[in-house]
Amino acid sequence: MISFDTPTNLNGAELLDELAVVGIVLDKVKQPPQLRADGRLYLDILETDKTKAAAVVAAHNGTTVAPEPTIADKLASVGLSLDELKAAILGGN
Amino acid sequence: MATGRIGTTPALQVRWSKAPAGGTTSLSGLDDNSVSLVYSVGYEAVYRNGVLLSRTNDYTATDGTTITLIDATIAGDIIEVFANQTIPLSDTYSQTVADGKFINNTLTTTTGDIIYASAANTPARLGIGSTDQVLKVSGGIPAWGSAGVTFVGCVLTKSIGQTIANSTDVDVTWDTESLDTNGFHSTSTNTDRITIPSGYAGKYLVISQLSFGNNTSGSNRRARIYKNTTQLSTANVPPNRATPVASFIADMSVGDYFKTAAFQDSGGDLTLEGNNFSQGATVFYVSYLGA
Repeated sequence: MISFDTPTNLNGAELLDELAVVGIVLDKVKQPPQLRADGRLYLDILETDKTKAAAVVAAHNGTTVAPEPTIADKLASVGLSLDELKAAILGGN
Repeated sequence: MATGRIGTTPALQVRWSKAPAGGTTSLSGLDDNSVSLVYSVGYEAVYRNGVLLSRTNDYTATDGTTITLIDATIAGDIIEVFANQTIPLSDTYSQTVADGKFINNTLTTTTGDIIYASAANTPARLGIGSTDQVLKVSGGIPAWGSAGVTFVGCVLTKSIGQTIANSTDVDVTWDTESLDTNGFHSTSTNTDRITIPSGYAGKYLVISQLSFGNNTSGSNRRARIYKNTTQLSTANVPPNRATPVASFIADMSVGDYFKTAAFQDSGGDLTLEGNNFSQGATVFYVSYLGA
């Protein structure tokens, strides 16, 4: 693990995509970036990739607002499906 | 047969009996019953036809194996020697020494009393305890006490939420100690850690329950438990109303620590809820199970 200053707007998935562009490929499931309690960002990369990765991390400005959930997602969050909603509306319940 | 007791000299007594030929003055070796003549000088008793002979006047006995009669036997005489053989003991205690070494049985006064050393070479009495009490150590000496188990461990919570960046393992920090029996956690340094205190190395049950803000985007909400930097356990759940719970039983040494990390892939930041969250608590706790 190699540590870096944490960028202001960190988005781990986008950061891994940006690292992949410069040839540093990390598994999004097994090797996600780690933000530790010391406030620094840790990446599971080789020491030889440190300079390249540092430039990517410093330039990183990720998306921090989650995309708006779909209607189906919103219904699912309260335990309903679209079909159930339709049935309720059409059935008058 | 050797007899005696501590502080005295036991003796071995042999009855040597023989009908020697007439004219015999020297008695030694095996008797008529194959018993050897062995005696301690001065402790022998010599009989001739049932009459006790007088030492020096009737016989001499100087070497422990031979008796020499002054008057030679005549045919038909029976010579019997009661040969008392003293047996010297080199490792013996006098009564005074023994009294100083052995524990007097009057030290115990009651059924169930136990004798222990209150200091080196100092026996002392511990009276029997009460029903269901167990023997413990208090102040360096044995003592009876309750067998009840005392909880050792800590329970940590968050008073406010913590932002978890998208697709990043984020160490969870803890600002509230609902329980902390032995200084497992600090609210000022390494607030993400539960560190094993002195005297409590052993097995621990560790549980991390992380309650994420409600968001249905992405596919994973995750809790991970670490022992130092090594991952022990991971719990993944789908995003809707996500409260992954990871647990493990780990063998810990003094100074080792647990921490837990949160992960989510909603696409943006997501809050790990504090304990005012209605859907579930964010909590991290350990319980000491024993050595």
